[in-house]
Amino acid sequence: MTALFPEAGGFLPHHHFWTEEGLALERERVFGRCWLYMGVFDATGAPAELTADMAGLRFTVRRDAAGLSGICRDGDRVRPLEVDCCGALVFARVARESAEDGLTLAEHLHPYAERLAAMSVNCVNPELPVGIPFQANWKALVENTMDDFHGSTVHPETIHPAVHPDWQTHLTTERFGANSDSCWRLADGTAGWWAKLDAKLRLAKFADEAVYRHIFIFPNFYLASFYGATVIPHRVDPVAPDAAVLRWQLFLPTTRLETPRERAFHRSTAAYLLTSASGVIEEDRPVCEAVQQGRAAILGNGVYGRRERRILDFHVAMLAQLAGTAATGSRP
Amino acid sequence: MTEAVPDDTRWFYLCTEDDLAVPNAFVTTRVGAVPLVAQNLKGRVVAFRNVCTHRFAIIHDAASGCGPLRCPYHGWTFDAEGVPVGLPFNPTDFQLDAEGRRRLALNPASLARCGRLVFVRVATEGPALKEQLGNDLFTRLADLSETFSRSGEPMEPGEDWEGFETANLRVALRAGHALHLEALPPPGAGDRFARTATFLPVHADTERPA
Repeated sequence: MTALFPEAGGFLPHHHFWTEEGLALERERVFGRCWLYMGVFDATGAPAELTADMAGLRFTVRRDAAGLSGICRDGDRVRPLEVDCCGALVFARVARESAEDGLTLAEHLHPYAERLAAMSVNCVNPELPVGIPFQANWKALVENTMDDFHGSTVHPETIHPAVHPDWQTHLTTERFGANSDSCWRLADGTAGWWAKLDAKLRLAKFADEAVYRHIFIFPNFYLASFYGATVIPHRVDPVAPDAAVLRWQLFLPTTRLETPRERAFHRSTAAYLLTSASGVIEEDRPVCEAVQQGRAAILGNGVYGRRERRILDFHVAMLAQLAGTAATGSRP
Repeated sequence: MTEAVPDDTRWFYLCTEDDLAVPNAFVTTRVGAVPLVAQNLKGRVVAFRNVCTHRFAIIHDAASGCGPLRCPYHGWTFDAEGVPVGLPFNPTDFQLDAEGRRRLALNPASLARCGRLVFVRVATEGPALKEQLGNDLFTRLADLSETFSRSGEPMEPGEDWEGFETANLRVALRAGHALHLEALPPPGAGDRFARTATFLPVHADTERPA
């Protein structure tokens, strides 16, 4: 049997998905300690600011002549942030008291720091950031994004036909602690569509790969990419025990945006991709909300198939982080 | 999730047998934080917690309908014992045998009838429905449900109708003419689980024999 029935202590207790106490502990030990994705600054180098609200903490990262800095507000309490970058991706965490106390950002992203940095080169031609509210605990969204099984049932006419019909054979998933990299071969028709787009827009590509790639970084960040070109950073922000916002931003990088016609084509393509991505997320929202409603009533612990281990990896990392036994700064 | 937890041994009126008469017909409700479903599966009417045992999604979101007991998230399908019988990717990704499937049976709920009226509750054990309603009321309600067995156009009970309440049910009766049932949603359930129906005697519109 390849299914895994989790034992008590091997997964988060169900009540962590709806109680104020659970969220308060996460605020202190997860969002108050881990490296967290903040966003991408524009390429101008001009003074700018990134903000994020997670579990009642308000993060502000500034770029100015002195470099990058930031603060975390928790009510009246203000703590400095440690800010670091992985390529264009800006991360921050509440500053530790000792320099030896905690992992570096590269260690936290391990073993995907280099891959993420390479992908982040494509964080150009930004579209406006999008935030989609879910009436569900943030962890239900994280579980959903690491779930390889719901394509045919939840996305039968959107993302499912976009990947190879024999997706099981062509899906590769690497796991390292709670970090992971999932790679889906695109369907021939989808790859052909991207190839035509490439011919027209001369896409900037970080790799020649006709795949949908999804790199998850504990606790709440994932970077999706199509065709080695478009990149879409996502972050799941806890708002309340039963509410979260999925924030994401589309980048459609091109090497040719000179003429009005090229700019118009880029604009319309980006709008199409935004609509498509929003449509997929709108299909995910009701199932995440259905899980939020159902979890409070279940008597068992569920079961995890061969391709659902990433979800348990996440639970194990959360348990260690909440218990304070994870390396500070969280190596998942 | 914060609503008061009702006594899970209490029975709540759900629907009539007619609502569950055809295969795959289902009716849902919610008691506190617990969603419930009653469903006709190959002729057997059974009740479960309306939650998939795989990854905990609500199975039937609609208040009522007709369709297999299949989770919308991953397509797991359950039989009248609550055991998953349709598991996409089982040969490659789960390899659940009979025992493994039984471990993942839906959490059962209780279902009882009073005449043609169907009641459900969360707990699998507890007082019988007749005990909760009381013998006299149980008998009367059962008789009324048999006498007024034909669905009629919705009508508002008049002031001169006889009325009484039991469980989550408000009953209004115009003797010989109509029975009106108003089921209030159980504690924790939304208004979409409120149900009203009017029933007529079998022969109301036909000429009675001399």
